[in-house]
Amino acid sequence: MLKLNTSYSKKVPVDGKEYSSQSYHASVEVELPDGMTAEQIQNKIHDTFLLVKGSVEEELTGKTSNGNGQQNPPAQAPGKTNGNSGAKVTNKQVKFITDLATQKGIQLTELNAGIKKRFNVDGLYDLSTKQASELLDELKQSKAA
Amino acid sequence: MGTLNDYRDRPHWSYSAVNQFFNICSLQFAFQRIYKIHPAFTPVALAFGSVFHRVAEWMFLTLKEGKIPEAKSASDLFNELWQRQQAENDNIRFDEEITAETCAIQGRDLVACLAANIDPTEKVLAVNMPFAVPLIDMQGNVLEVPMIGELDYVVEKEGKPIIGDWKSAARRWPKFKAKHDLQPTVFLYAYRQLTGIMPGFRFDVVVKNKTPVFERHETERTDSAFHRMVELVKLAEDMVQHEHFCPNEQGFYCGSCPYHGACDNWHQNYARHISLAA
Repeated sequence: MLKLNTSYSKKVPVDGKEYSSQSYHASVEVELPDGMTAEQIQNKIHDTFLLVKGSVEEELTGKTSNGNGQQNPPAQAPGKTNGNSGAKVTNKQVKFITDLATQKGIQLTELNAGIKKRFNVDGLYDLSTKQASELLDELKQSKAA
Repeated sequence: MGTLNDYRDRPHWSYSAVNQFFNICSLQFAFQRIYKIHPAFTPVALAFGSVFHRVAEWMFLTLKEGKIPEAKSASDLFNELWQRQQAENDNIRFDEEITAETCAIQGRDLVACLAANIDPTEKVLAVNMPFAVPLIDMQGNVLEVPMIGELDYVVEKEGKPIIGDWKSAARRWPKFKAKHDLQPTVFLYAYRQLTGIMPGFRFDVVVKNKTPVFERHETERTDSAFHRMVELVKLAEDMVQHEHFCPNEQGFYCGSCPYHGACDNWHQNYARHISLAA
């Protein structure tokens, strides 16, 4: 059985204190099904890393919803998200999506229109990390096909 | 649609950042956006422009609701917001000629002038429309950091969308300023990428003469201008990465720069940094 352990850590300077920083770390372990190709494993690593990284960044920026429209303060337990209110798509994910779309000859306006219809958001940067991950999987699959 | 503040949470470029980097002062850019130094004061032009913008926003939202904004209401609103601005920010820097009172009088006249030049037959499609779009160069390479911003307004005229931007200016604009300005390039690039439509673009400039003058400067852009803009951003990214910032000595904006203290000492710290690194 294959196990994938992905972690992300970030140091943030402490306001008003020189040479001081606080460190934030998250890791996740997932089991991978047998028979995956090298490319599939690589893709899984990429997606899992983005998820972990996005979650850490979400905590640091206090963007998790606490259910009543207010935002949790940074570094609290992850809030439950609903709909598309999860951590926002990362710049890396958008680049990956746009690169894949460009390779497939999909115009950006076409991509945005598809996103609007499918996820009910206005554009690439309004996606959540989860939605972006789904979109990436689809683009990769259609590329492989 | 996300708000501009949502988009600001991620690493990003904006028209004002690129413009500040190349056309104002790359060292001022660094103090504000990279080293995040607290500005010593708020330039009066910034505070004034902010209130002017909020009144213009109210006018176009009123128009969007199918009502005609009245000049007197606009002037009254300016007065109210200007008072509030001063109450909330006691760090605005005035000078001998530009005082809080002269600003109040001038502001009331400027917004009344803008109101008088609104075309009520135009359909307002959007006011303060935020955007975030990927930057793609001529070879199709996608930059990781997006371009974000906010369009002041979009109207429909004779079936075609037109992006508009409100400006208050100390003097009349030179004839070719709009043609070479980076802002229409960035905004038209974003709008077309989001909608597939190439709109028109215009600046609504109200000049701060004794009797304010309204000027409208229309302009357009080609794909070549978009590619040039992306190359500029790539160049800026490279320079930021290597911390290649330099003061724009004798720059037009030096007199009102809130980072002049840090700028005065910049060469000493920079020299020490290089010496330690060597």
